[in-house]
Amino acid sequence: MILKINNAKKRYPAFELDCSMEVHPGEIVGLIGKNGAGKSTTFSLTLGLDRLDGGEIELFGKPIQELDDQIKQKLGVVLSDSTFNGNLTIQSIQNILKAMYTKFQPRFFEEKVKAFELPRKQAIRTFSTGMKAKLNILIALSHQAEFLILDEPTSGLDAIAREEILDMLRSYMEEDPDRSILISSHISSDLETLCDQVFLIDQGKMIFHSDMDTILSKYGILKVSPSQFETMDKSYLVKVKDETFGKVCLVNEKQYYLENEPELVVENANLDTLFTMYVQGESK
Amino acid sequence: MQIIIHTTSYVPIYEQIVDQIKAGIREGSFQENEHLPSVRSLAKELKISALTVKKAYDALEEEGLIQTVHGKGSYIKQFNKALLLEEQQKEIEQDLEKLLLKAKQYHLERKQVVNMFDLMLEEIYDSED
Amino acid sequence: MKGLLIKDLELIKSQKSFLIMMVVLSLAMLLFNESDPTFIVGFLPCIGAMLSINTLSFDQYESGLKYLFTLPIDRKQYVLEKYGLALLLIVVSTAFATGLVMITSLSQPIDTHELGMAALSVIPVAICIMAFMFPVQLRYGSESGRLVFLIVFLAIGVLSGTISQLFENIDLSFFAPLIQSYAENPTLFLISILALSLLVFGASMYFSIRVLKKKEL
Repeated sequence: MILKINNAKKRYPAFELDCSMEVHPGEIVGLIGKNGAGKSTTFSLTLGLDRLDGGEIELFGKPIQELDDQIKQKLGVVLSDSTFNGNLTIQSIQNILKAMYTKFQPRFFEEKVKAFELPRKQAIRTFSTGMKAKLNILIALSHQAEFLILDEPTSGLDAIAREEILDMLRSYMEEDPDRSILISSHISSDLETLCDQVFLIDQGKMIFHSDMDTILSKYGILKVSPSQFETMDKSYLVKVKDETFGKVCLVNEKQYYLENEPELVVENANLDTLFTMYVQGESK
Repeated sequence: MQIIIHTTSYVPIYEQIVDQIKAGIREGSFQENEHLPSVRSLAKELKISALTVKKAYDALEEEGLIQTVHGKGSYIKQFNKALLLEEQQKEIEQDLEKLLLKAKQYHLERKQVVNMFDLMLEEIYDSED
Repeated sequence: MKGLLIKDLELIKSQKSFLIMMVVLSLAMLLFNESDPTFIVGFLPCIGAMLSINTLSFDQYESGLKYLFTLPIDRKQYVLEKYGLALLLIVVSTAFATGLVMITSLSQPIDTHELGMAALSVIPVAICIMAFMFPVQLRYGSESGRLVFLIVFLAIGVLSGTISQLFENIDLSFFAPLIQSYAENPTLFLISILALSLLVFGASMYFSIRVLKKKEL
């Protein structure tokens, strides 16, 4: 297993984190949650930046307390609120990376810098949000990392730039099927086209976990009137939410309703709707 | 590979892939022993989860249409076109049977069923080329 | 550690305008201040120490330390590199200042012995500045670090007056033989001060490593 988080706990004045999660080789795992739900805290704990108050985290089979620079050679990281100092240039960053990472790929790095049209000799604090995001991903992908840990890597980008980055990640996985990615985002549509597994986090707790295929193929959204709600079969009902027209239901077997209650309005579920129903909906 | 996914269809994506590959085999767009793209490659191309692709490949392997060799990928097995066609026809027959049984259960008249069938035929078969 | 060193050198390089200003200022002071040409020998090495502390400020800016520690480095290496860099900068700036003075002394002869003494005596001072400031800034951040430095600087200024008064009143006859041998051999005195400052430096480094190991990023 690449990453194992077992009831990791972290106490803050505002909330308490208590989460469990796994990443296996070859998997792309997505983490969704509101701002302040605990995504970044989970990342900080996974990277050994903060100390656990309880529970265990194992990275590449070793307890996180024993995280050393050997393991960090295998990681490619993008953080949401921290990167290289803004006074550095791409040229100087390349020199730093070359000295730090034994598997740094200068040709790949230079090719991509050129492809993205990033200026080599300009201080990176002058870069636009898009340029910074592309550079951050590029740095993470530049040294054959086995495990990418990406916290909101596409935040603030337009759809085209986001797609470029997602495609880079797909190509990265294609090159070596044993690589893994842990990625957080609040742009669910990005994760839908990328992830194999999805974890939902809310107020410091994991409230849902499934693989993407099940979410897209089995889960469904039903929009029903109050009377329809009375009579409908509720065996596959997971979450319910009140709406002006009646109720919105999240079900985990939409095929059943498509076949047996065809008068009900059934829609495919996606990460956005799933997330909304889990956070705002109530259990049956 | 020429696979087009309808993302808002009720049909699960892995099923769409299986169906399209089967159709491709039937129509002869695949050579025997032709290598299929790796799971990650197809996932990248279709912008879907690798698990979904794996599910499709597993289903195809179970039906004996492809073979996966660990470390080498998947390839189209030597196939019997006629057999495949027969299998798919059988599938349609079974669905038809289910449908008619249900119509009978709901006490639909024969005339009504034929009417509905004709309308559907026109909509689905005749409106395209 | 090599990567960290390259990073810090690149950061210092990015401060070109500041460095150039320092050099110009030094030259100006040399050329126009005839009474004390060795002033820059006391001044530049402290700037050298400050440059190293500055790289810490850069790292701390905008949560930068967080990202740094996801790179393949550990906390001990980080501290070692900063202290090593400080020593390097102090030595280089002392040599540079001394060199400058010697060049200008071609027009006005200078007591090279006095110059040497001045150079040797400022190194321990710069080392102690680093030894004191680094753990403070590491623990409390760069704004607080600067504030503390200012306070301490003033305090030293104020206290040095009181301390020298104290010394006049204390009976130092116990130390007489020690003071005697030092007075006869000022080089020995300077070398022991240097050794002492290096000890303080080492202790500070050990202390900084402990501070960093405890710190949550």
